[in-house]
Amino acid sequence: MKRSKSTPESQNQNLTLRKSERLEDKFMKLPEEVIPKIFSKLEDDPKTLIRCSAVSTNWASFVSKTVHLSLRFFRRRYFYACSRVHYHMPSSAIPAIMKLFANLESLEIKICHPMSQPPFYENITRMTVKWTEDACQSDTCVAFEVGSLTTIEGAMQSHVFNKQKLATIKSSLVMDFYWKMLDHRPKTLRSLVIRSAKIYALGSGKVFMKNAQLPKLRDSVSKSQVNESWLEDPKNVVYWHKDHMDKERLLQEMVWLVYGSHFSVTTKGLKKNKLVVTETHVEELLDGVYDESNGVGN
Amino acid sequence: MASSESTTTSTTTKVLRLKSSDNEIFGVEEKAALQSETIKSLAEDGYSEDVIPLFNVEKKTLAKIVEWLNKHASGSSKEELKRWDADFVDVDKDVLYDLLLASNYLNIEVLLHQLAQKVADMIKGKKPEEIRQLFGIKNDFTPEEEAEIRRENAWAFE
Repeated sequence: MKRSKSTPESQNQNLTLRKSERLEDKFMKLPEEVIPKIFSKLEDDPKTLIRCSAVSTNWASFVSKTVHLSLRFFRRRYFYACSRVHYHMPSSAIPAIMKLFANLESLEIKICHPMSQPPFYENITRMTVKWTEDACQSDTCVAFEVGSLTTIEGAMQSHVFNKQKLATIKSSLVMDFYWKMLDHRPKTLRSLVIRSAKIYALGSGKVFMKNAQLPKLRDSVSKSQVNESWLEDPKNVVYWHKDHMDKERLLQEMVWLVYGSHFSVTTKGLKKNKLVVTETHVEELLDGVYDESNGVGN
Repeated sequence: MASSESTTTSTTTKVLRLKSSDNEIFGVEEKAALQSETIKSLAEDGYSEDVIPLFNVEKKTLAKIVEWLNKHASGSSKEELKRWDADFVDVDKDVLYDLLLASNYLNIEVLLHQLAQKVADMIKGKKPEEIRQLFGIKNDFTPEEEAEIRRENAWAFE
């Protein structure tokens, strides 16, 4: 039984092998500028790229020429919470990955969070690090939810607590990855983005403001009404991410507080500054968060 | 890239004649042909009145390329083009490589990216041994070297 089944199959295999030997030649003969184009389509798929590097020494050298890469990490072992749409890898994998991708110029690290129980705040963090010849500049933006437009008074009362919360977010995961990358970064690396998002409710509008803008908000909303033009004024709000789907839900738009910090490390030492958070910063902060959260809520 | 397509002047359509390496001549409307940067610069160099020789492309590949150029100059909707493109790159590996080479030589950036994506999709999710089989690649790692990559990156081989 077995033999009669395997014979035609193995013949087939021989045929494809012979055919693909010619293909191999062609693949090697592809002009040098074409091969990176193929591998660049895989830069969001490190799992496949790493498998490619185990194919042959030639392929390993293609992979090592990757200049942009995007990695996803999960926190602890709860990766089942959003493992459906993308791969995750443990943070301990970084040193080995950096060995394979020794010519990286830019790297993005996304940290997925497991589902956890309320009352944890929804939050988004984004850290951008740029290396130049003799300095390292870093911008960090953190935004977290404090309440809906109509319940903002309660949120303001709990604001002291929020500041502590902010400190824990800033000092945790994103910074861990930053330190890890400082140890293992390829010398060619010029840009690093580390993002961490913890969002459960999708599709609701978000009003991003600075701490100093918050008191003024109280005068422009009531239990039943929100002054839209006030929200649209960039003097009052850093960025209004509208929920275009449903205008009626305007009152339930969530208020997010956004903070920024900047530091630079040069030969003269470390310098820390406040970062003036702009609309662009918040847009970058939100960039990709929605696709990422798809797997989280489900 | 698409900016040149929006011209609404009603001049008579000019046809460029492209000659394959095996001497087959294809007539292609200028608007379609100029999506290739190589043809564009050849046309600018004064070839446009005669036949434009494409020494690196055989007729069977050039026929496919011409088909692509015409479709992408035809004003089809985005959705239709997407479907059509998916069918277009759904060819066996030999043809895929010929198209890759040709689109690189002719410098048709959009097509080149579509083809690169197709090859990448073929690789995606496959194990190293499956990739080797797909492209007929010989494993030239020593067993120790291969074991090391697999051990250090165990999560990627699960």
